Amino acid sequence: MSAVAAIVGVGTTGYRTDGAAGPDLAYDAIGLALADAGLGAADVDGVVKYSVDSSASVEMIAANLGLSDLGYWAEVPHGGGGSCATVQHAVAAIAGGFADVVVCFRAFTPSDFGEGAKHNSATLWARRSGVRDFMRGAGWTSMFDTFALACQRHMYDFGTTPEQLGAVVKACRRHAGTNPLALRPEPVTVEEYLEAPLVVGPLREADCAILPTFGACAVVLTSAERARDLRATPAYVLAAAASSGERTLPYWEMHPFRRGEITHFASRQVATRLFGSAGLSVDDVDVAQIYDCTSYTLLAQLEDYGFCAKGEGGPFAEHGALELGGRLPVNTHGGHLGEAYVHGFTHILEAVAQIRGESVNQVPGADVVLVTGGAPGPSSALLLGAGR
Amino acid sequence: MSAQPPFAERDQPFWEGCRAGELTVACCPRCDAHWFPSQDRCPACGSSEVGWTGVDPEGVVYTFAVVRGPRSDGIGAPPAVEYPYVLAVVEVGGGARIAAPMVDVDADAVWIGMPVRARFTPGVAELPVFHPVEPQIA
Repeated sequence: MSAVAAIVGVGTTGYRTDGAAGPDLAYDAIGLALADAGLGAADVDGVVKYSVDSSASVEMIAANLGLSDLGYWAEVPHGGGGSCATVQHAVAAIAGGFADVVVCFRAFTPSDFGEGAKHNSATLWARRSGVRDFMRGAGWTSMFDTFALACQRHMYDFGTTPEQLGAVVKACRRHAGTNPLALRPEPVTVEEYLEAPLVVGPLREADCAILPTFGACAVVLTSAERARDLRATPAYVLAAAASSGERTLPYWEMHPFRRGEITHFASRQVATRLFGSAGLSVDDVDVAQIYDCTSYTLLAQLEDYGFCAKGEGGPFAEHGALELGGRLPVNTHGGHLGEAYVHGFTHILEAVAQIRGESVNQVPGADVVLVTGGAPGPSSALLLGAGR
Repeated sequence: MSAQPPFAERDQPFWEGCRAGELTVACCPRCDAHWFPSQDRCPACGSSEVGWTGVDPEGVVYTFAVVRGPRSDGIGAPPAVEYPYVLAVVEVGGGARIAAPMVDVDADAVWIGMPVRARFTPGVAELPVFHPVEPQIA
């Protein structure tokens, strides 16, 4: 099966720990992505965004960037889980003939969290339905608590160790060291990691995505045919997949309440759809950009995507396997633990950089790159390729 | 000062139970599934006839996190307890899981599988706290 569409332009505002408003970030990132593609506002006829969200609406994007007669628009839910699903929407729009040039973007500011996420249906529902009464009242007041609870159970079930979480952190921080955009460019050894205090045990600050982050990213997609005529090396979408997962809960943060075991994510079902539709396997993946709102989120996905057996994510991550030159280089930009936290969109940009041969940590022969979206709730993923 | 009314209408029996010192979980009269927190229809069979049922206030720690301070997403401060505290997810009757702080135990002494029991504040509609069934020697 040959690719229908390709990413032909990327843009980022860069990342800061204070400052700009979501809409301005969105306008800037989209403008940069169009310039990178050698396209203009008049070429765009599709816009896809995703929540949890304080950034610009589709109407605001159109009004402020001069877009007209959009033939396709969508807002994907699920926060970071929806990152790759924006590209899935763009591919569907192009394949369906609804649009020729589709912009996908994410503008991220701290007000996207907590009570500031007023426009997100899942957050609203969680508050109105009383679900949050059962969580907030128990002292469960952070998304990191959800991952700490799942990680603790993973350690119990499979013997996963703090040293193994530290190996994930070390890999991301090493890669961030050569990235001029990185907010945490200082390398860290596993020993230094272990000496740092716990924030929500078993997680330390270094295990958690960089907050606050202010920044935006955008990509431009068009058909594989048209992509050949544009200036940038196309990053072909070999596969795009999403899944709501099994035993879906009404609100993603509730994951540890799920009936049955909690040590895998919807990512496991995403993986089945992703590799199945591409006719590819994990052995074809040269480099992976794996969603890392926490180090544990990345570790568990190594299992979900089949890079190792269930429960072996910890041993897999040890001894430099996730670093440049290792068995599976991951997050070659530094990821959310080393570069910045823009709900997974930074990972899409880094996958394109690898395909173009322009990464700050280029993996030789990176022909197939995996990108994954957030967890544990509904999630999405991409396989990008240098060839169709 | 934790969760106070107005609670969701559907959840009133749970909070009434807390006030009366009884632990309840959502249940399905049709297929006997138990779950927590509540949702509109039975997650196992889809029945709309969901209700609440009293369960043994003893359970076991399914997982836990030791909260030592504010987390950087800053959604909110925990009510009623001071740092550090143990946020436990406790498996109770029928496999339902409830979240609650652990009390009467050192944060480093909690373990998965630990038998624990719910404790309520009489007359107050608050989530219970859980304490070890076996008294812990400090």
